[in-house]
Amino acid sequence: MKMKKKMIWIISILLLSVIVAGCSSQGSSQPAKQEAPYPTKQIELVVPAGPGGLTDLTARLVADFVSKKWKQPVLVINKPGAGNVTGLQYGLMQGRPDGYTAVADNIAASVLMVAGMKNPPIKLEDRIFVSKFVDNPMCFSVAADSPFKDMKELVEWIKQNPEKLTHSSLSTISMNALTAAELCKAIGVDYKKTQPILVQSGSAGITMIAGGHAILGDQSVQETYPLAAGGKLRVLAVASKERSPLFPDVPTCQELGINIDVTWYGGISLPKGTPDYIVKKWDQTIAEIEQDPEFINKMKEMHGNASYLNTADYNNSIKEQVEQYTELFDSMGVRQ
Amino acid sequence: MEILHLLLSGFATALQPDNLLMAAIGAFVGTLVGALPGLGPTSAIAILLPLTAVLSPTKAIIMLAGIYYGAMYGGSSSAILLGIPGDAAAVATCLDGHPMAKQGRGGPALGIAAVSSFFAGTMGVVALVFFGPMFADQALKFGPPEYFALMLLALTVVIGLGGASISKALAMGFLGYLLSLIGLGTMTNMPRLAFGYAPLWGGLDVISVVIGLFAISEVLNGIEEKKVAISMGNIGSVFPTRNDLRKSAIPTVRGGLLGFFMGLLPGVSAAITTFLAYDLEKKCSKTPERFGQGAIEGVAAPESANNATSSAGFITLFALGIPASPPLAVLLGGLMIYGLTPGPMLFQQNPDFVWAVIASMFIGNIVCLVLNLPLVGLWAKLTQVPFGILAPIILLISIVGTYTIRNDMLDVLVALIFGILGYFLKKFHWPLVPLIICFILGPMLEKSLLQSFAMAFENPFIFFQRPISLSLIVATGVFLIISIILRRRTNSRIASSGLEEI
Amino acid sequence: MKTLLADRIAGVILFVIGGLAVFEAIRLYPLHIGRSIVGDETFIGFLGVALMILGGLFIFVFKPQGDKQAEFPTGELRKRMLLVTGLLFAYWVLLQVIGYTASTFIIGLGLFRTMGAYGWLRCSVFAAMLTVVYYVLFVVWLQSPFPEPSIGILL
Repeated sequence: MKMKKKMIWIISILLLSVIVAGCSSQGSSQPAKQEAPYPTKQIELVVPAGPGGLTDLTARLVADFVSKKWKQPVLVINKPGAGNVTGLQYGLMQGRPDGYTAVADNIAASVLMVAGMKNPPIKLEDRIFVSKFVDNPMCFSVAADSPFKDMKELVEWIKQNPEKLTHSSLSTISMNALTAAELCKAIGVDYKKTQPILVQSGSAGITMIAGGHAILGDQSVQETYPLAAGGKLRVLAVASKERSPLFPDVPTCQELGINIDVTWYGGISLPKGTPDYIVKKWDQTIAEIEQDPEFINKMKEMHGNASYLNTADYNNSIKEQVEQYTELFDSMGVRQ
Repeated sequence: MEILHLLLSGFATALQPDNLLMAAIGAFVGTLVGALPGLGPTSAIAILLPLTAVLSPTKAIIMLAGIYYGAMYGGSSSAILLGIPGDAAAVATCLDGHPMAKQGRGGPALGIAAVSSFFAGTMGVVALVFFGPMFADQALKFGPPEYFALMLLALTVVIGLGGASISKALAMGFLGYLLSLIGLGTMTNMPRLAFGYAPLWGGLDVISVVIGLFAISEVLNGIEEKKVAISMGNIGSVFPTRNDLRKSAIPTVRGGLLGFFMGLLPGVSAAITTFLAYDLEKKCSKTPERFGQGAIEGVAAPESANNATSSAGFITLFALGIPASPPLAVLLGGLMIYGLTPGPMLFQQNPDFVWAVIASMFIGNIVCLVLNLPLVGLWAKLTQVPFGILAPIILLISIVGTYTIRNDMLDVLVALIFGILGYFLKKFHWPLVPLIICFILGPMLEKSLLQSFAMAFENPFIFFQRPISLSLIVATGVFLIISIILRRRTNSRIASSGLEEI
Repeated sequence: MKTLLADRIAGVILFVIGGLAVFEAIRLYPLHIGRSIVGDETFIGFLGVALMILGGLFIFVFKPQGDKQAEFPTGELRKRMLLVTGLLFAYWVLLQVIGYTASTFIIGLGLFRTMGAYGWLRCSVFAAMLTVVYYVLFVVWLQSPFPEPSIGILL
């Protein structure tokens, strides 16, 4: 009897060791400190948002193309929550700086968080901005049955009645708030007098505009397009420098003499401490796929705009924007 | 009738043998993944989406439709057999489905679920064809005050499902609301109720709370009851008896209609409509005390509401481009990958494609029924495994499943804590259902309240100045009075029968 | 008597939670933005007050309903339940320390052993099978990124 018990113990320990050995041999393939070949295994691309939105869709597209180039799987991981913070924390703070964890970053997660908070949970220095890969300009829209026929009428009305202006916004320091605030600043109206209505998602915000529950839509062209194309919304002006291919007939604000340029964008970031040669490899690869007509086309189908900035330019533009928007958020009284 | 012509040509595409095969594969795989405890339709579709990428667009979308319906059905089968809902919408199915499985009637429960899902799904697709564009405008009229009123209406469910004591139900409901507010503030985006603990900024995940309260605590109870197995012997005939069908016919229709019309409003999730449908059946029933003890109507109504709501969701998705629920958001992502932009223009831009999709949704629904009725036996075999084997399997998959939702170890800890909490709450007869309903509805209630105040420039009377919200509030009052009167009548009966609360 | 006591304790807990919520609402109040009269603290404050009132009612006013009493397991059964609960928490810890494979096997073994009336050998086989099946399901097929073990143990 005792013998049998012993035997069982031995067998179970043997089994255990086989399994443990099996799993440890997998984890032990760590790249050396020197320039190890990269990539040699699966890469995780963390998306700080849920599946379905533009951040997610474009990240999946990039993952697909990078994976084809490098012949290694690139796994997209959705980590939504806490307004980008959960995903960033997972990817940038907990992720190892070995090039096998990357983050699909965006302007709201980087610039706006840093500019809008006095003590942001994730700072600019916590990551390496590699390159930008997608653009999505903001635009102004009103409900289809709204009395405002063009941007001029709307601007005149806002100047007269700033305290009656309702607009939808994801948070007090979101792209929407920024877009509306830039408009107010450009036409000489106090943003603090306007009434933002906070919504849970871009599509909820734009639906509210189409239903006439708020006056001014300040969403991205990608979010605005479906309802605008269906005749539920009237798009008055695009907030970027150039017209949007989605709305070729809609003038830009600058054409109308309103000097603003607000565009949502997404890019790749890596955790702080990732070796230089890996950062360069990512940047080069992104640059290459941005040239690929298939990539550009796929991007168009998602209503995004393939747009590349290399590491240096991307970092410079981010720094510039942070300064500019910190000041703006301060003047809006929303910086906490 | 140009629409009919287009629909027929859509069917011609969807019925090609290779396309039909795709629908069948999708339905099977979807059911399989959806049936994994803790993995709801959302995760199932998100996980399987990449698999369709190798196919041509039409085939891929047909397969997606199969996956969608399969995953929806799979979610209810784990809810019924194991008492582990895969998503919030399946919680209501658990309430009576799981007791049925425990009594050895898992087969009929699964059968009824399949039949009523099929019925509601078909109804939804038909309605999508004919009424889609008409409803689009109505949905837009729902602004924040209307949603707030709607949330109040849903709150009456808490009173209705709260078990013996209103005060206990209210306390649990308030706790549920409070728990749902953990995370970043709606207005300021500053952390609240996190008490300085940063990992809580992301809030608690619904599924981890549900798995804790309904799966882990259930297993703990199971150990105590010294269960040999959840069900020994026969699970009963797979096909529902004529009596079962007769009993559940009207609940199916009622649940389907309720789920469909409520589901037309973006933001009204299946979680809400399933509970409303369940509560409605309980109120209509002559024997409300059977609910929670394995009443077949309590399975048919929420299942039908669930599928009708998601079908109605297709209308808002296709007509407005608004995904009304998380699974639809993922599906929207899938459609967009194939170059389809849901929205009012969709029907004009890609008519052939769209009608093929609608036809394949119809086909997917049928395939799901045909495939699942025979397979019910297979899913139901699960319940015949001895408890000593099944329980560890459930516990471990609950933990692993919870982890995979957000890939977050904190969620696992939350599930464990709620498992223990659920065990004690059940012991002392505190109802769990109000907690979970309020947890699901809390964020929307708060948001719509704050939004209403903002859009009305702090005028609190806005709720009474808009016709839709006013009528909803009046309806809430009426329901509240009715349910309190009904409670008084049934309360003593339930208490005297010594039945356990849910 | 027991139920009454339990409800009173629950009342105290509700009161404390309500108090915490009110406290949190007061902390949030100054963060108010703009001219809005409602904010992040409104709902929390309301819930806090409501819970405190309910808690008070449970402590002082409500009479026990019915004669249902909570009974807890004793002896061997209690030990087993505590062991299962402990194993689950151990799994949570081990997942992060020694990784998915080893921890699933060990905890699976423990759970089968505790809950079923089987020998060590059979339990090991069950646990090994479970580990492999879940590995295929979650790691190979669904590609879930499990936490990387903080120590690689070798035997």
